[in-house]
Amino acid sequence: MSEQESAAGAASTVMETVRYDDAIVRKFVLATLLWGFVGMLVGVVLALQIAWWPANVTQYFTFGRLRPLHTNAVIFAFAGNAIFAAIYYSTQRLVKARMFNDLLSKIHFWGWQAIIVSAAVTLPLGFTQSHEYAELEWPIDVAITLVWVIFAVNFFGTLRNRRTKHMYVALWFYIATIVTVAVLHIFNNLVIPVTGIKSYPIYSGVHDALMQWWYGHNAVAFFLTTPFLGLMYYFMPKAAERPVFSYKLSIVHFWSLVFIYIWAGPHHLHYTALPEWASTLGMIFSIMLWMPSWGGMINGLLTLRGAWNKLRDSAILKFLVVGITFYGMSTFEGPMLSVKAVNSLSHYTDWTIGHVHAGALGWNGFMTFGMIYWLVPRLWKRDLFSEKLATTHFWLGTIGIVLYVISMWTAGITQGLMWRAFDETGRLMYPEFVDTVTQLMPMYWTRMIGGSMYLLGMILCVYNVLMTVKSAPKNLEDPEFKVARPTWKTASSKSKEAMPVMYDDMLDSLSAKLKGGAHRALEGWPAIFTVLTVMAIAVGSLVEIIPMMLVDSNVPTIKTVRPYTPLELAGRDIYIREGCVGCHSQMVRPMRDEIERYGDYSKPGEAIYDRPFLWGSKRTGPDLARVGGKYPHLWHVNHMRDPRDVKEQSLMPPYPWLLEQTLDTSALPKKLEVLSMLNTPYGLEQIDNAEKLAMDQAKEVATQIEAEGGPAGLEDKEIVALVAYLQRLGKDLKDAKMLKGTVISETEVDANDASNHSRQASK
Amino acid sequence: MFREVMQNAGLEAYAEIGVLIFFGSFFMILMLAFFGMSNKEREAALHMPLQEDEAI
Repeated sequence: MSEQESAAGAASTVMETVRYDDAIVRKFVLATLLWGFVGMLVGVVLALQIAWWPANVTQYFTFGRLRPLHTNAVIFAFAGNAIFAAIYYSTQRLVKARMFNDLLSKIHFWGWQAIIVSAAVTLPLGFTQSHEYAELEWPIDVAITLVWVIFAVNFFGTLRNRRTKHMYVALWFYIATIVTVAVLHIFNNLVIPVTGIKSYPIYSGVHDALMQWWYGHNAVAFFLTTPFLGLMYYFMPKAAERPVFSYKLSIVHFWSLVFIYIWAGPHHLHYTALPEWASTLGMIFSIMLWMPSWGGMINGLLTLRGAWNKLRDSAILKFLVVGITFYGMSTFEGPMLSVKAVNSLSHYTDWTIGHVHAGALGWNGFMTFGMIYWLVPRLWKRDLFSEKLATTHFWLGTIGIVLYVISMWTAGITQGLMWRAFDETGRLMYPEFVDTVTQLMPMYWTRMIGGSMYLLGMILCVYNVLMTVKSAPKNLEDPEFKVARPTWKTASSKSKEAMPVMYDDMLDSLSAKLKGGAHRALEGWPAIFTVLTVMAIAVGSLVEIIPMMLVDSNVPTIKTVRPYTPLELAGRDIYIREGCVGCHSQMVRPMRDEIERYGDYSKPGEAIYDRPFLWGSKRTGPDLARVGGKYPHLWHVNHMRDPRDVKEQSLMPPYPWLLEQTLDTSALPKKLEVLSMLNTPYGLEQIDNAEKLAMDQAKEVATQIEAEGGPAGLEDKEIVALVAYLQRLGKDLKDAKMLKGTVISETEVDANDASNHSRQASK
Repeated sequence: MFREVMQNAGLEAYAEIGVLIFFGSFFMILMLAFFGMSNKEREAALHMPLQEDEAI
């Protein structure tokens, strides 16, 4: 940090010169635009693939493999780079100090881009942990941890060097983001590596599901909400040239949001095998979350009080105001969808997709564009190339979101109602799942048009920024500012020296610090503020996670549930590689229509060997929890080779390579060994002979396929492993019923759980 | 209902502690937000992002 001192102004105020590091902000802004374009382009491709299956080309670009690429690109690459740009720009100005260390800033930037590139390479190759928004395999997770620590050191180092005594509200939200994302990332990615690019999570089944959605929901909370609220609290007043509406509201908003948000995760698992207490807890806190969320929205929107006329001419304010409005809409819709009665209709349908995109495109996207249009002229010292293009971008984006969201709401409600429709004889009105999908085709095309309009707006934004950058001066130097040297730091250290350590004096000192208000004092203590934030998020996390992990009765075991055979395990890993979980759930909810359509509802004890759990969150295809034994082996082979062979209207992409690629069994002994370490009861003999056992079973499956009239010579192909896995699904529970003991608990405590589920089923 | 749910799961103590922590935190936030701060301090806090430094 190069800083010169000079005496200026009044005799008592010493002025210092500070240079802000805007070069790093420029880099993050350009990266935001690049990855935004890529992520949204992949999104449009996915929309096309759903509407027109031939758009699935080659095994690397099928829907299952591209979906995680899209979500990772838009969340961590587009939104991630946007929040880093916001944090690096606003933090320096709010604390009147340059970033703590330029080298750390550069490592953060280039490290994050390297992580994004590695995600873009590994996800299409099928390397995935199969946890939504946490798909990246363990070496990349380690890199994320290191880069995040570097970011945190840089940020908190800057706070330590601050020249303002108090931290502005935007900084509180940045603190919450940094500490909570670290906690979430570490605890959801605890895995045991099998190879350099394959791992199994330490949690299984129900536990894995709870941890994943504790992470998944709070990734939305602390990666897509809190940093964007910080962004709102800084850039909205800047753009409106008005102070934020209410300081008190911002205090209530911040603390209630960080405290309540962390509890809400289990609402993603309503009516699943998650114990009902956890699901109910998630629902209650989700409803409570509505209030702080709307407190934030009101604070943001009313910042424009008395200046609404500016909205007419400013594209920036249009983006920010509509972005905040979408925040309000999404945070109303979220609690509504978390109510169990609503969730029973919406879950697994496109309604959730519509909800997510209202937040992502409306809130995250528009706040980012508003920020970029405000920042670019300041960072490149040139007026924006075209205000008209920015306004055109706004209208294209807005109409695009409306088309997207309305089509998905319609699709979701339509499909949810079709699933549960019974005719007058008491039979399912639409027993063929595919009938409930083909009905949605007009909505899928409308979604694609809406998404394309949003992407077109993004392209206009990229063009507008690049044209502005092109006309910018070649050598952009860091801006220099004169700022007052902080007097509070020296006063504080002098008073420490002068003050004898006595109880009364300490109290006097504390009361002097509290004179401006308790929270104002807290804003001057970043370390204590951070500790309190960690405590706020820890309460909800621990209250949900500890009993779930420690109380055995949460997951009653079922005697007939056995670990997967080596071949089934290999098949399960192919299922994970192809991203089947993106379209197929493995969770039959205790509802009449689901039991009628799929079979008995899913039990917690069924998933105890599932690492990772594969319950899914969307049904573009039918649930597969009970598919084992439903069709002959050959049906699956034909279905995978070309789904239209067995279901003419199917949207599913073909997977012909599964019949051609040789099954790699070399990692099986290591896989079984790792799972054995995690308490899956594999014996030594089984581990040592894993490859042979797999090949033996493969021969049996291949022989059966041939006997059913299928092709010969499949015994060493990937398809036999996948068929073995699919034919296993739900079989353990069927075996349990055949034993007439039905669901037998080893811990003798599953009666409560079973009766709870039965009650729900009867409803 | 909440109590019944937690009781069935054998988690009543967690629920009670959770409720206490919740109300304690809620009360603390209200105290922090609504007491003790002067108008001058509040105005200073609100205007922080708008305080432009002198460019050189």
